[in-house]
Amino acid sequence: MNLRTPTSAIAWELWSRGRAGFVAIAALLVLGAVLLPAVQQSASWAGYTNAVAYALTAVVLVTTLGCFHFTEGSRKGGFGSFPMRLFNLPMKTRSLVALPMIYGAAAMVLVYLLCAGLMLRYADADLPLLWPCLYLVFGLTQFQMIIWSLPESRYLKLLCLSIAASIITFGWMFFVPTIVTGALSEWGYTGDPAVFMRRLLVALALTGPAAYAISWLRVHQQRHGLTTRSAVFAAWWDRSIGQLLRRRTPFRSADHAILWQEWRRTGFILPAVVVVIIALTCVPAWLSGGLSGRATMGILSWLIVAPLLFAVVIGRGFSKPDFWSTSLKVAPFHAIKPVTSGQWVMVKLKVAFASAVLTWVLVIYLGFVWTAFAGDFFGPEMWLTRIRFYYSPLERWLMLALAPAAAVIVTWRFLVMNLAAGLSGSKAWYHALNLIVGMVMVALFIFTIRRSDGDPDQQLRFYHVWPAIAWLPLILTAAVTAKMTLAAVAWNHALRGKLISQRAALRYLAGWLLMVAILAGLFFILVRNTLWLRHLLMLVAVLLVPLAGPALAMRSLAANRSNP
Amino acid sequence: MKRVTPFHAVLLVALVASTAALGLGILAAREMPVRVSVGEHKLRMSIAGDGSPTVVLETFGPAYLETWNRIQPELARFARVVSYDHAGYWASEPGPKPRDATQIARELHTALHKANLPPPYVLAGYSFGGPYTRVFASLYPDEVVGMVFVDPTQEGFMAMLNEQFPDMSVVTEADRLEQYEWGMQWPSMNQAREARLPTVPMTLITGARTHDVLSRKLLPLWQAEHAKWLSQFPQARHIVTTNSGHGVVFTEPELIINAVREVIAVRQDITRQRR
Repeated sequence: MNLRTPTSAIAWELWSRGRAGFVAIAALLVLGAVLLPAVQQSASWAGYTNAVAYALTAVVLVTTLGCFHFTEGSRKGGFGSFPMRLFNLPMKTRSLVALPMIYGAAAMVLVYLLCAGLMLRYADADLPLLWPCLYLVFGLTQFQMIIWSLPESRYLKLLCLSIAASIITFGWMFFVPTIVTGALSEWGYTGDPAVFMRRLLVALALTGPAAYAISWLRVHQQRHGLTTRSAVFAAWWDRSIGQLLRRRTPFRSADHAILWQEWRRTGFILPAVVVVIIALTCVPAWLSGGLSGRATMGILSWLIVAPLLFAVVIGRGFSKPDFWSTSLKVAPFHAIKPVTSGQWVMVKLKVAFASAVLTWVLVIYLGFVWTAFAGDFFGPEMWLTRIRFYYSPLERWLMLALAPAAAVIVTWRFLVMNLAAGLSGSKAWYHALNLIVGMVMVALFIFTIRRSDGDPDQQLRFYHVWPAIAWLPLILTAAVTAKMTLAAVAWNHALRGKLISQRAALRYLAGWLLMVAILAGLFFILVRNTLWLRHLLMLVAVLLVPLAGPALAMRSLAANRSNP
Repeated sequence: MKRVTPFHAVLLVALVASTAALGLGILAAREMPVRVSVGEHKLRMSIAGDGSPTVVLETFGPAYLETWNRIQPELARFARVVSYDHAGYWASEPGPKPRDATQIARELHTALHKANLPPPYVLAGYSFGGPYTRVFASLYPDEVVGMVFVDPTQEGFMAMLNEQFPDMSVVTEADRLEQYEWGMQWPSMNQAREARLPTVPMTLITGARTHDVLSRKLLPLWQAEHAKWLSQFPQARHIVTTNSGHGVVFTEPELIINAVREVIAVRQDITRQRR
């Protein structure tokens, strides 16, 4: 093939980088087109039609974003930028920036329309076309703009990405008539919601050219080696953060030094992201004034969900040898650290735990402050009344003591969920697990939206999932037995291979028992009368706290270190 | 003697956890509600205990069978007890419409037979389960040997409420057209009004605790309607508790357990006397 024009060169670049993704998109679209009519017509599976349609659409769209984001990282620790090796293409910067954006936007729109035609038409909801297309283009262009515009600053980029992610996560609600009408009246907006939505659509359409203009300017500066104010700002930002985290006393041991390094590089990410998200949620909610009890409970619920949600997302990077590197391989310089793989894994676990503790301290503190100053106590009071109704004072005190600890444990669990795969250096394993986690998150998201949308009777129905629930005793028992067998094998290997000291292994085991006891204790109190559910939750408590995972991670890391 | 190593500790924990998991799994599977086929659809039912009569726990559709969690295990100590999710709610599949009291009573009757729970039955109806149990008893009078009404909804009270407080308990035209239980409240209450109950031991519990101005205003009318309706049945007993409001099933489960126990005892006395 002759690449005679810049248009074909960029198209080839996209094609050559994302072949596997394009095949996956096509395969998923065909799968959806074949599967959904069959699901809809099946007597026993018809109830799953919406879930299958939305989940497949979400996976297809995320894969499309993965193929068209047009950013690149570097193995030295770059967290993504415009592909700089393309700067020497014989074309103007305006085209160099515009083409990937246009291709990406066109691809997102085309794929959504295909999804709508092949899959979403089977879902029992009104199928909008205009706003989802604009919204997808908005998401892609904002992502590209942030990554392309801030190649120098990993912290600032992460901050901007967090802000964009939270706007994108919630922004779609402003286009759903039932939600926006309620929200606007709650905020005291007296105008026509349809007019509001039309204006919002115009604003959304304008973000595309704005993102292009900013990206063009920033890529032009990078291409010509121009120092810019924002680069100075980014350098200042990085210096300030570095100064803040600078250590002032000598390290006691190699172990301690690595703990400090790991904390500096990854420990504060979750607390920082969660604080930014809280600020983005709470400050506008405060400024809007006059929140109802229901809205207060909505904000507080989001404060509780946010650390868990972001722990899952940040955990993807946390599980890698270096959070900021796009490579899964341990860099040679790091491979020769004077610590065992077991010590290294334990350091990661400790940092994750400290990160989870700090996050929840901040969430609880800020949640109280916000509720005191800006919230309506009617919502929390209703919940307290219900809790008082169901639980005795002793149970309430125990719940108060156990719930924050359980929240920390679950957050920590999500942060270290993928450690064995991330430290193995195997891209296939790492991405496969990420895909599974992503699909579970999308499914949960869709389930939550479907539950909270429209018909209140719908919220009281889960007969479609009962057959799956009925299998849970068997599935959970088998999972616990498999986990325990795997743990015995993995710890045997780790101890025999001297990847971890006996003392550290015993300490972890004691910690594991304590954490399981905390979760089991909380579940025991929470579910007092539904015995079958209580039994199942005991099994969930055992499954939630990783036992085999750390030992497997040690083994993975040891193999990765010896093959950097 | 060989030294105990951390691996031994892990092994011990793994063995204990696996054994405990097996036990918990078996217990959970045994205690889980089952689904019983009622023609085209299935109802989730929780069956516990042994013996006769069978105590049938009934409430309004949106309330799941776990509403009876504080009561059912205690009743199961001396009787066979069954609670269930109404069709179209929670884990029961949607059933034929309209979802009125007659349809619900017939469905329950089929479900009881399909689940091998033969009569006689003692019916316990909580809230809107009151009208439902009345319709059931009038459709199958020979199979019902006792009734307990737990703060039941009375059609007289609802009519007054509709007249004086039209904003409360609003059933919209859309609700009526959907023909779910909420929309079929009035037809169900009319069916309950026309129901002819068998002469069986009967107890009605009224939750007389108030928590706000509105409930203080409405409570005397609620209580009066209970007393007025119950006066038709000379054998009936009226218990008024000031320790609980409408949530009496959660706050005073022992009151309901004792009421059911007494109804069963009275029925057994009657049976003995007949012999």
